[in-house]
Amino acid sequence: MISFMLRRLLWMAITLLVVFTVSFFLMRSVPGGPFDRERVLEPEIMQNIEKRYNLDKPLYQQYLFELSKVVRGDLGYSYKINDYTVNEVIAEGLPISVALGSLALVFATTLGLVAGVTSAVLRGTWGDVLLMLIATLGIALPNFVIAGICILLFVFLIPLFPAAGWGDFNQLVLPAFCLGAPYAAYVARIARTSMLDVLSQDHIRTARAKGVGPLRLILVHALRGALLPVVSFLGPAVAGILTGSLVVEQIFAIPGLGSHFVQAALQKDYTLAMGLVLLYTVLLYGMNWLVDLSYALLDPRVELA
Amino acid sequence: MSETPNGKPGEAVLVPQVASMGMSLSQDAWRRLRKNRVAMLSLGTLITICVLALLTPLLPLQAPDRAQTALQYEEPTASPLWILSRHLDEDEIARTPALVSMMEKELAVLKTRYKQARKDSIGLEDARRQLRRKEAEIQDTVQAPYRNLGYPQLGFLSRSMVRARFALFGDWSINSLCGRDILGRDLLSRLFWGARISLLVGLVATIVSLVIGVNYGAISGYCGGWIDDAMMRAVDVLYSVPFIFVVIFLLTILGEESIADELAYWGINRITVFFLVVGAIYWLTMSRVVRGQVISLKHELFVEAARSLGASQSRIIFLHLLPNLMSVVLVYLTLTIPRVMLFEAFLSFLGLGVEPPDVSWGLLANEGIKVITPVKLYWWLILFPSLALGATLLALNFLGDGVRDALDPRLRDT
Amino acid sequence: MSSTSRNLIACFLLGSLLLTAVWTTLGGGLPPADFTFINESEVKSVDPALITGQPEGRIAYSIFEGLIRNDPKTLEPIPGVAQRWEISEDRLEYTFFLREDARWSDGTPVTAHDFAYSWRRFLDPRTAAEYAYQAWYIKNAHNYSRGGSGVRPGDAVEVELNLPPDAINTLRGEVIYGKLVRIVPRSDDQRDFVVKIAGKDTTFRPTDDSEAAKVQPPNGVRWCRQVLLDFHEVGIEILDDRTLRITLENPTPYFLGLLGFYPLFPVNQRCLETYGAPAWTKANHVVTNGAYEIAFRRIRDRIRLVKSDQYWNRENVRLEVVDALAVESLTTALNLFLTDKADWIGDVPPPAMRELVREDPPRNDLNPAPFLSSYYYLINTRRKPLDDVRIRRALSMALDREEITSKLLPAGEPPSLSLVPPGIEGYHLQTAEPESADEARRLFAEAGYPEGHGFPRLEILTNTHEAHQAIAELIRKQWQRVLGISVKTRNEEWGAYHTSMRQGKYDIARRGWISDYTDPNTFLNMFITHSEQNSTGWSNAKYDQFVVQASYEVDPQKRFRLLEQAERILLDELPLIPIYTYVSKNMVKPYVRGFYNNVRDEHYIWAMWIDRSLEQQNEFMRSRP
Repeated sequence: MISFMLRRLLWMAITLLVVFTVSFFLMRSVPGGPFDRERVLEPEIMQNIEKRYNLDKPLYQQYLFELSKVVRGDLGYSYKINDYTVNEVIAEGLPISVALGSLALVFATTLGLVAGVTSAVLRGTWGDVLLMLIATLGIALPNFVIAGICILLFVFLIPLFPAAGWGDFNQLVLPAFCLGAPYAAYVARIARTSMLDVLSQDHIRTARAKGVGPLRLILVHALRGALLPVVSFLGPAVAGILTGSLVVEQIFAIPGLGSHFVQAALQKDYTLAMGLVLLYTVLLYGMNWLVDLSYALLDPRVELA
Repeated sequence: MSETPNGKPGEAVLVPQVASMGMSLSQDAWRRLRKNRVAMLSLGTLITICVLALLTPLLPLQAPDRAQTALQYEEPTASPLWILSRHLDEDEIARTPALVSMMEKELAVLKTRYKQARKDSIGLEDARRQLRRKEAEIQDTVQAPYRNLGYPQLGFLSRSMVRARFALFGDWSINSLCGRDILGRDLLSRLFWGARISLLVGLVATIVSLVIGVNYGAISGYCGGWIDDAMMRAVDVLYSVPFIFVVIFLLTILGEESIADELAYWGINRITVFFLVVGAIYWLTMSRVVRGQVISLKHELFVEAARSLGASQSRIIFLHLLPNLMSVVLVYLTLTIPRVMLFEAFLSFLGLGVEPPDVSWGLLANEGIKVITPVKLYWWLILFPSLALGATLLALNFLGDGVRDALDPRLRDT
Repeated sequence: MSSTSRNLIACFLLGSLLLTAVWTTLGGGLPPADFTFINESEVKSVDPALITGQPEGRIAYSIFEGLIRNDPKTLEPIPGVAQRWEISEDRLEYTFFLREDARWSDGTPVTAHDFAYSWRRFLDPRTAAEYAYQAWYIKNAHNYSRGGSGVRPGDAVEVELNLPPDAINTLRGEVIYGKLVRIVPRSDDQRDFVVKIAGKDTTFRPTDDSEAAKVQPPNGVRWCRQVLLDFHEVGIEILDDRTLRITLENPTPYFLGLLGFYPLFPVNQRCLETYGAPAWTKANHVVTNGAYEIAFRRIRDRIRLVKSDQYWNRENVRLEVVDALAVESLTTALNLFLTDKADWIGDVPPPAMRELVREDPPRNDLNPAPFLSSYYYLINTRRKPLDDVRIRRALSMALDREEITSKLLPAGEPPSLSLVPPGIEGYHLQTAEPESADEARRLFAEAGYPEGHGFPRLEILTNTHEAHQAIAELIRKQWQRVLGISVKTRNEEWGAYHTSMRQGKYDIARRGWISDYTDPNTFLNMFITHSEQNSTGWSNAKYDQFVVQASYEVDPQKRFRLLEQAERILLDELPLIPIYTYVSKNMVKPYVRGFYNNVRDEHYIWAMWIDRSLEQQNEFMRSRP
């Protein structure tokens, strides 16, 4: 177990190094340095700045210098928002993205499971077809289209939720729903298939023959078996929700990491963009690790290797 | 966004029994697929869409990029069904070869000058700039008659198709059945032209990823040992790279004017970068699945037989193993194309997708989303692009399900 | 592990997810603000010396105050920190008498020293303030802000010595004064300064603090941070704590107005030197002297302003808590306004505007009005063949501005053929040649590109914004249609677009300019040869001469004639193509009072209040600039 974790950590460090190296050299290959001011600087001033930030040194020394800073956890200043360091931006954005993401995940799993199980129970009926059609549509439409339609429906047609912004729980529901929708659709499809599979197995048949009520049969006996494939989907789902929040945060004006990243990349705020890429790498690693761990806990056949 | 390449979908799941795979199996599968009505309907839809997209320049549509501001935001209309559009200037087309051949002579001169400059390494920058400018000039001259009509940059085939279209239908074209946008451009024809790019993006990027993934997986699985170990470790590492971020990062950096110029010189525009980058990301899952397949296949009798007959390693991999991976590849194809198309839509939303005057469905959907306000709904601008995108992806998904069921009923949903 | 415990774990995982979601949002609940407005993009900084944009300006006008303020309706100068002022006969000397009760938010008085400190910092080349040229009207200010390039042998100079590298970065090194003997160039970007101090020549070599701390200077040389003109030479003079005298280079009729413009607002020395930059701008550190203080700032979310209890005029500030939301999407902003989550938005998406202006009865929260501004395309004259004036004239003539404004600009923006918009009293409108497709084609043929043959591909650069992109698309079509040339469009986010422009990386770039002060000079000054704003590479000695001559001219009538002649040259040479004049597109709730349409579309929070009992129209609906 401990060696499993250590190995994971080691690989994470290697991945981070690769990501950092690639981003660093990409950043430096772009014309216009980090201290491109709007105003033409006096030669002395420019030179002083270059010396201060080691820009007058050969590239590999700059690389080592930057690397040592990142290793110490200092991601530097944002190029474009003068008053903030990258660390501060992350500190403000991360909790927001986590809140949005976890609520979206809750939506995805609960809605998906309910739809999937219902669909499996109603197998072959119109209800089944309709649910699966909606689920597939959830996969087939871009996130921003779903969000636009949701705003029209639930903000203006039926005024249930605020249009945008961040602050209270109400403002979180609609974006979380839009973010979770495609994953709810995936979960529904997976749950349906595995549920059908479980329902045809012997022990369920036996239970049914014994006279166990249909509700109890589904909730207690069948659902447990159907849950496992859903959990194994959580890894990709978490990754997708993390990155999918780019769009949703933009549309709903939520100041999470996703909108920070999009803005940073589009504004060529390279330090911020790189810091966020590194952070996301850590997050992805962490999530994959958690999913593997929970998978091992849930399924006795899986060994941690 | 659909699922990302960062997860590990399907790894443990896509391991069909392969013992009896061969021609009979695929025939068997085809038989089963034909019985699946939803899948066949989807296949029909997809084929229709593809054929229409391919033949778009031939169809009696209005030019996709022709602005008619007088008709700004015109609602969908079918009466009259046919309207007159602008005339293709045949004379100008007839004149271009003469112009072009003249310019090509100049181009040849510039080329030798460029080579000379490279040898002497003086004035290289200048020579290259002149060379590029002349090339762009030739391209612009050839395109001019079409561009004036409101067509995007056309390839040779598309140009002859457009000429054939004017020969066939004259100046008549279908009225704006799907309405018009802010510049009065016809949405119907934009949808058709958008289909070309969207489908192309989906297909090409998927194929790129397929080629990388299959080869990588096959080599890794076949070689085994430490090579396999190392190759799969690399895949593990890449799995945890947040690729969507990297792609955005990359596209913005490559969009820098001087770099974009350089790339344009090599014939690489944003779409090409997109193909390459997406292809380079989505191969991860494929390589894992293929590796698993190959490992189980390589101990099969027919492989052993080939080996004992003295076939070379590469022969075994490419002739005996790869054809047996068809089923996995097919399933994977139908799963990945929709993802790539959604990814393109996502990038269009961020303004990093195709560049005007080209159009894609993602771009159209994004333009539609922008005009959704509670004050006024230009509903056609969002409805039709979403329908086109949704229908195609729906069909692809259903077809994917069908193919998977047909190839092996035991395969699960991922 | 038993199946029950496995179930438990599954439930636990799901439950903890939900808990995280709820927990993180509970902390986010905020008491509502009295007034909420959409401040477009995230502000780059709240440091008044470093900012340039409109969103930044709205914050700066709320939290800082200059010597004078602008009247919210007429924008005429009214007393700010200065209670009154005297202007000398020759209009070169301004004496300001600061009010007794002007206070910083920490309770200390605002004095003449604060202004001298702030303006010196603003001019310091190390601050690299983009707007520094707004202070160059002050005597010797330009030379001071040019650092080592602004001094000549014989000048009185100040030498700033190095500090340890870990010193707070806003601290000034020790300053010693002397007379510059000579400058010894060492390489392209290095020079030594020989300065006579107390009768002794010393050689100073500028370097960074880190090098100064690590490396011994060569024999006979001393390290320093920089060598500048002696600040005592600059026309900023402290007569006493409450009296400040400013001497100008030239009589500048709009100088008083400039003092109400945020770059010349004061900053607090103690705050800056305690925390360093940029940490001093943090909400819990920053010390301000305006009507409001920053309660907190959440990046890309909001800046919350609360009324300051130290502000001298606090009785007349009526909104207690104000939120400035950073919402980039125009559609989202409109949604917030229509659902009563915002009381003022500054822009409306064009498709919605199309409908809103047509509504019957007319809306009571929308009143578009033209203001002193110009929307135009810059032409990079460094690039061939755009250096040919015939090409530039043809590009301008080939446009159909009426089509652009009537189809894409539904708020009623008027097409324009001039840089200086109409509306400045006494200034005669100058216009470029009228549109003519035939004449444009003729000029193209004359320049060697009949029917556009052989003309290189042009690229139009815009910043990412729905309206700009649509206009660029239409202009692309118009040029293709009329001239037969091939045109591309490219868009970049604001920051990136700004950088591309500054570095001259464009063929043709969209630009808009809103007057900083009510005078044609705010537009014309941008195109003189060495202007920071002139990225076109265009330079005309006669033009420069007219603009400079105008700055010496005391008679306003003669001055305007000179400026008209300058604009005439500009519009004949066309390094820019005028397109239209902006129209303000504010939507303001009917209960908001004290909001006026004015000639710069500038609105001050401190002048506004809310009156829900109002029955007739508010000031906004009644006012035209």
